Amino acid sequence: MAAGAQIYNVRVQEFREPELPALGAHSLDQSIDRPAAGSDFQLIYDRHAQEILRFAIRCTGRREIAEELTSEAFLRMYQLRGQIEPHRAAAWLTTTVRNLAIDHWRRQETERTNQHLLASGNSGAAPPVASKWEYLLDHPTLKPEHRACLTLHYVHGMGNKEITSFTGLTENQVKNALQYGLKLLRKAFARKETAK
Amino acid sequence: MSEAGNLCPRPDLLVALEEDVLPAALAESVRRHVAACAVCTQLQKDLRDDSLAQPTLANVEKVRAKVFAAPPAHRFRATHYAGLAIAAGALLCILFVTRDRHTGQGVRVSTAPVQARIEPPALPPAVPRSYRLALQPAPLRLPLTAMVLRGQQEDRADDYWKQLGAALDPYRAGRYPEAISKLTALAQRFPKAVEPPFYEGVAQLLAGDANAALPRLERAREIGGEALNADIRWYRAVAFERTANWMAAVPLLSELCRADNPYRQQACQAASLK
Repeated sequence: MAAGAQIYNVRVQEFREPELPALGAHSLDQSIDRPAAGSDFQLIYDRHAQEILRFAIRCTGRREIAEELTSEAFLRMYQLRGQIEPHRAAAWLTTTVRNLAIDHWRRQETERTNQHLLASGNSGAAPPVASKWEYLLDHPTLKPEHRACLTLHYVHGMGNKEITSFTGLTENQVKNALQYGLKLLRKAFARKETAK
Repeated sequence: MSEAGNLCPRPDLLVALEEDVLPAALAESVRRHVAACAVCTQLQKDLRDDSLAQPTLANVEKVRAKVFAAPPAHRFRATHYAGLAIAAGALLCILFVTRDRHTGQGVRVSTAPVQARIEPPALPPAVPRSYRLALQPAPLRLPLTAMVLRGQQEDRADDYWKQLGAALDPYRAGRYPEAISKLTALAQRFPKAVEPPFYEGVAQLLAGDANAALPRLERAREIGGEALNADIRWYRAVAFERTANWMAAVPLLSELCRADNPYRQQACQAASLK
């Protein structure tokens, strides 16, 4: 999937997002005014929505913003239908999403100072269990989603709901990951006590 | 490990850094931090993992709803302006016609094309709202575990055979809560047998609790078992779909679609709907 996005990146080097005509300036074909099930637009949407959404998540890091950018890209494509060849749809959408993401980050930068942007939940101070944190990072039974949940919770100060929204995991998965991580930490502490 | 006083970047910045979409100065400061911070390096790597980078079915559905039902505000504004212009034009025409009739002058009709009204795209009726994967009770297959045990620990094998039969009776009769409790007890007694966790998982699914079914089916997968391999894959895919984790279901469906098994046709059909 990441490879897919890379392929798109290579393909879109030659692409430039076309200028959007003013709304209503182009004549609309009444027969395709509304995308119906099985129409070309619906087919393009079904084929690329997931891939483009994943790329948008990579570009913005936030699922709710990625949803906005993806839907915006598809709506722009809908307005320009007939001007974009179907085999170029993926590359066009990827370029549009990328440009929208760049705009999003520019807006973010102008709205806030860099310092504020950089600051995370608990100011990035050492995690509460700093001495054992590296043990946790290297633990062989810890899956990436477990480790990410632990880091987001203890380093970035995110709550369970925030982690759920950020990662796309379910609340139960987040809860389990945090519990499992704590269990491992307890074991590590117990081993340290025994060694003493 | 991040040093005290050195602020860790927000996790969304860590993700976006890799796609080269951040403003240059911001990207540089994040890159410098990541190079010096083991926690952020690891988090950046973990967030790339498929389990965290994939959009969920809910995400995809939200986008679909936005594209097909709720166009952005400027589209509404344009529609309003176009509507107002058309209404004003029509009103002027009526006034002109009425006035011309009174004055006896000829009626001049404009030949300029009328701007087509921009309609927001509608939600297509074909969007599948119900589940794509059919849920039927899993067929009862010969418990190979009992056959393997026979000859080595015959008494234990007989015991397993009898208890499994007793636990599957309520399953066959559709009394799933009873089947679940019996199969749970059996799984504790015979932890290496694949049938109890598998049928318990299926019973959980049939009882409507996909979240509880997943760990049981996962346990069955870990134990393994040739006879139930395809069944385990199929019911895991069903459980993933019911827990809105379509991304996890798709690889299982693809595997089922590639191999010869009773679920092949359904799996191919469902995988192509992705």
